[in-house]
Amino acid sequence: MTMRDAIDITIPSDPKMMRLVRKTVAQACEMVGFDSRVTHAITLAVDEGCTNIIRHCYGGSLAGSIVVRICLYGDRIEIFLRDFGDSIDLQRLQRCIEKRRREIESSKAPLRPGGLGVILIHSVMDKVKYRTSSKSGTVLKLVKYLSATGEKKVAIKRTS
Amino acid sequence: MQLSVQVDDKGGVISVQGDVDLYSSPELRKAIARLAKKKIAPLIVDLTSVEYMDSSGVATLVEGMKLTGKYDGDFRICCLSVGVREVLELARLDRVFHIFETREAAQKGRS
Repeated sequence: MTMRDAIDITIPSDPKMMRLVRKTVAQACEMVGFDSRVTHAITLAVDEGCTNIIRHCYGGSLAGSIVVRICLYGDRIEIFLRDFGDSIDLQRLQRCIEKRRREIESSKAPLRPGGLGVILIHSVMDKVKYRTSSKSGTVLKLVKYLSATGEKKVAIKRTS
Repeated sequence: MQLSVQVDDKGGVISVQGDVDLYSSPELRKAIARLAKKKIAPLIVDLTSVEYMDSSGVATLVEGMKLTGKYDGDFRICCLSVGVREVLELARLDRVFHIFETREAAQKGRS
């Protein structure tokens, strides 16, 4: 299916900009046809992606920048989050995700506050892909589809 | 985000208004820590006016529970919007927190 529209916004790595990103993503989701529940979930996933960039890629510095590209299709939304920091170790990231997921699913694991963002991203989105390089930073691609039946309701993917 | 804090002999209530995210959650964290330092119990976070919370907000609540757990402070949250409840469910923390439908129920400690 061909892309109908694309929106690009570039923001500083400043947490106070997250509200603007959320509003824009929510509007885009509504244009594609997601219901309010899924729109909220997609917005959360994008927020978490940006938050991870601010915290882990730029170390909390406000001097970095994030490019948010939102592509609207008839059957899905694709969102690309680009940073300009160092490359990330994808294997290490995957190990961290799996470890954190096991902790969350276990009632015996000690309760700890960190590492929830990436779990939320993977729980909500249908596709999550990273492209990283030491020269041009990292692009996180997030994809969410409308339901196969064409209905406007999409179940949020659970981890189990 | 705006906070209002009430403390009396029945415990403490932090009422939160607005989004709780990476930008605003440090303020909530400080408010919780201030009451926890005084060993206020129960410590209730009223989320009536919170439509949006991200993992920073969830992490803040987890920290609150851990802080109050040090003195058996009974950390409670109440009046969750659909969006906030869903975030807790996705993080599988809805079964960890003491969640109440109303502030009155939270103050009584009964669902």
